[in-house]
Amino acid sequence: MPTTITIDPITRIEGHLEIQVTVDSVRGQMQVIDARSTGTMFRGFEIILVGRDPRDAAQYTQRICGVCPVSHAMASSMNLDHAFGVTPPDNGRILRNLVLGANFIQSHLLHFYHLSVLDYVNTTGLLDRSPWMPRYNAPDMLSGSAAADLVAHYVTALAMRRKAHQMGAIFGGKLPCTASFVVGGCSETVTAEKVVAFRALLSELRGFIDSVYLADAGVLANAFQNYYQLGAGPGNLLAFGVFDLNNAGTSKLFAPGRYTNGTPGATDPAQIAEYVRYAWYTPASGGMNPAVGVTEPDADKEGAYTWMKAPRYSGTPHELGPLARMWIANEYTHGVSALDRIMARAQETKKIADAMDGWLNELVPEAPTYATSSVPQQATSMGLTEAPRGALGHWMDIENSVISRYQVVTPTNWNASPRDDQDQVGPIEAALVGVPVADVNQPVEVLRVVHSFDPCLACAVHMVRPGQRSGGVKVLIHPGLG
Amino acid sequence: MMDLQTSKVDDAVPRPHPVLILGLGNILLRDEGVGVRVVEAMRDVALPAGVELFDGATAGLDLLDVIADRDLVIIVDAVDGPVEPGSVVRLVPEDLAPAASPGLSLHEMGVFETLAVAGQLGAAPKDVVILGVSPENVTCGLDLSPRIAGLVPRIVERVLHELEVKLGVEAGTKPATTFAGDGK
Repeated sequence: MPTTITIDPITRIEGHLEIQVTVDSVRGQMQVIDARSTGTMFRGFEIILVGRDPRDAAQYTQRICGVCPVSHAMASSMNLDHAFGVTPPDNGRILRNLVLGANFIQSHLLHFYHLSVLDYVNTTGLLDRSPWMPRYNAPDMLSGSAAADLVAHYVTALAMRRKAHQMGAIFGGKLPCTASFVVGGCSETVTAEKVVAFRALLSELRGFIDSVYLADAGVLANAFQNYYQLGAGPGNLLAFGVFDLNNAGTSKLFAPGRYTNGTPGATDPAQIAEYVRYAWYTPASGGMNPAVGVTEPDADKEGAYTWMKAPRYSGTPHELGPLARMWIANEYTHGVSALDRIMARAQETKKIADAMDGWLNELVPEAPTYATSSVPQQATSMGLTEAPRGALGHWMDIENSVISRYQVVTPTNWNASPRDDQDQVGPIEAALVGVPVADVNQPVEVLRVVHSFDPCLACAVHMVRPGQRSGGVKVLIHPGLG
Repeated sequence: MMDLQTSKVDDAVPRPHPVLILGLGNILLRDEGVGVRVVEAMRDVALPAGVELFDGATAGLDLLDVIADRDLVIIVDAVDGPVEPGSVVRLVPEDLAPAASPGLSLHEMGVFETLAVAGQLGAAPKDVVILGVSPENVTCGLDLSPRIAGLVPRIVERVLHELEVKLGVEAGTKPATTFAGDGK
C-alpha cells in the first residue's frame, strides 16, 4: 500500500522547500514512486523592481539571496551592460570574476560541510544539541574517527568561508552583498597591496580545498558508492557559462552548452519557457519566455502545489549546477547521480580557485575598472551567467529610463520545479523516483538526494504570503494516499 | 568528546591569540550595536600582547572557530533585563538561560548557543565574561543614543580593568594588537 511522506521544511538548504514523496514496495523494497517539490514562500522581487532606476538593479536583486547574491550582482550588471551598450575594461571584468569566484568558494564549502555532509555522519557525542537535534539517523552513517574528522572540518570550514568572503570583500567592498558591481565594471580600484592580500587568502583557501575538501569528498564517495546509482533525474544538463575570459564574452572558464537526451547542443535563451499549470500563478503568467514573462500570483489555484514556475528548454526539463558545468566543460563525465553532483562540485571549486590565481596576475594596478555610460530611454536586455547552483538569467525592459519589466530565472527554479504543462516532472522530482527508503520515519535517503542539488529556494521563489509558513518539522505518514 | 586541538586541519588555521575581546550587536539598530561600537573605540587603545579585538556583529555559529580554544573571552553586548538603560552588568555564561525552544535553524543561534557547542566539542574558552549594556534606543539608525554613546569610554575602561584583573598586566602600556574581523 503506498504511503505518502511529507518533509516540511527540508532543512539544511537555503530557503523554504517542502518535499512530498509517495513510497511503495517495488520488487520487495520500499522505494519512492512519485515525488512533488514545493516552494513554500513567495516574495515578489520581479514586481519590486518595476519603476526603479536600472542602475540600482544589482542592489535589489542581490537581496533575493544571502548565499549567492554576487551571482545576481553579476547577472544584473551584465544585464545593464547590455542595456546601456557598454563593455567593462579588462580590470573590471576580472574584478567581477574574482568577487564572484570568492562567493562560489564560500558557497560550495557551505554546501558540502554545513548543508549536506551531516546527512552521512552520525553526530552522536559530537553535535548533540539543537539545532542539530532532532535529526534522522541511519545505520550506514559514518561514525568513530571518520565522523569526528568531518565534524572538525565542519568547524574549520566556518573559518574558511569567512576567509573566502574577506577575500572577496577586498574588491567587492563588502560581502555577502557586494557594493562594487556597477554597470560597465567594478567600482573598486586595483592596487598591488590588494592583489597581495587577495592572493594570501586565496592560497589558504586553495590549501584547504586541495588537502581537506577534496579528500573529504573522497571519503564520502568511498563510503557511499551506492549513491552513484541514486538520484539521477532526467539527465539533461544546461549551462549559460560563467567567468568571462575576454571582454567580448566569447571565452569563459565554463562554456555555455547543454546535453538534451544525450546530445550536446548550443544554448539559445529564446528556447526557454516557464510553465505554471501546477504553480500558484494565473494561466496568463505561463508558457512564456522570461523576456516577456509575467508574475501574477493566484494562491487559490486548483491543482497547483508550488510557488515555483517550471522552466523548460525546448519543453524539456534540464538540471543545472556544477555537474552540468563540469560535464559541458568535459571535465567531469563520470555520471549523473547524487554523489556525482557532490564530486563535481568539489572539483569545480578547485578549478575556480586555481583559475583565480591566474586572474590576479592579469590585473593592472591603477588601470580603469569600469567604463562610463548613461541610462538609456528604452532598452531590452538580458544578463546570463551562473550561480553556484547553476545557470542564472536576468531579463529586463527599460521604458522612460526606468525598469518596466524584470524577470529572474534561477537554477533552483529549474532543479526544484514542479510538473510542467505536459505533466513532465522537474529534475528533483524525477531524481527521487526509485530512491529506496529503509525507514519511512527517517527518510534520510530522500534528504541526501534533495541536498545533492544544493537547493536555494529564496532564489526560486520571490514572494511571501502571510499565514502560509508551516511551523515545525513534520514527517507525516498518510497510509493509503497515492 | 572530541578535541579540536588534535584535528589534522589545525595547521590550516593560525592559532588564536589567547585573549579575545568580542563585540556583538547590530549597528543598524542603534544601541543594539553597542558591543561593536566599543570594539571600534578600542582600535586605538594600546592592548597587552596576545589580546585580539573582534567585531562579531550578529554572527552565531560562524563565531565557533573565533571563540574556540581561547584562555579568556570578554564579550560586550546589549542585554535585555530589568535594569535601567545605561546600566552595565557583569555576567558569566551560567547567568544566561539557554533558549527555551529548540532552534530549527542555524539563523537562530547566538553566541551563547555557540559557546555551548564549543563546550560539547571540547574547545570551550577557559574563561568567559560578558559585559552587558542595557540599551536606551534600539530603533533603526546608525548612531548610538547620546546616553549610550557617552558610556562607551567607561565601558572601554571596564574592559581594560577586566584584562588587568584577569591577566595581571597593566593595559595601555604596550603597542596595540591587530584588529581582526573587519575584512581588510
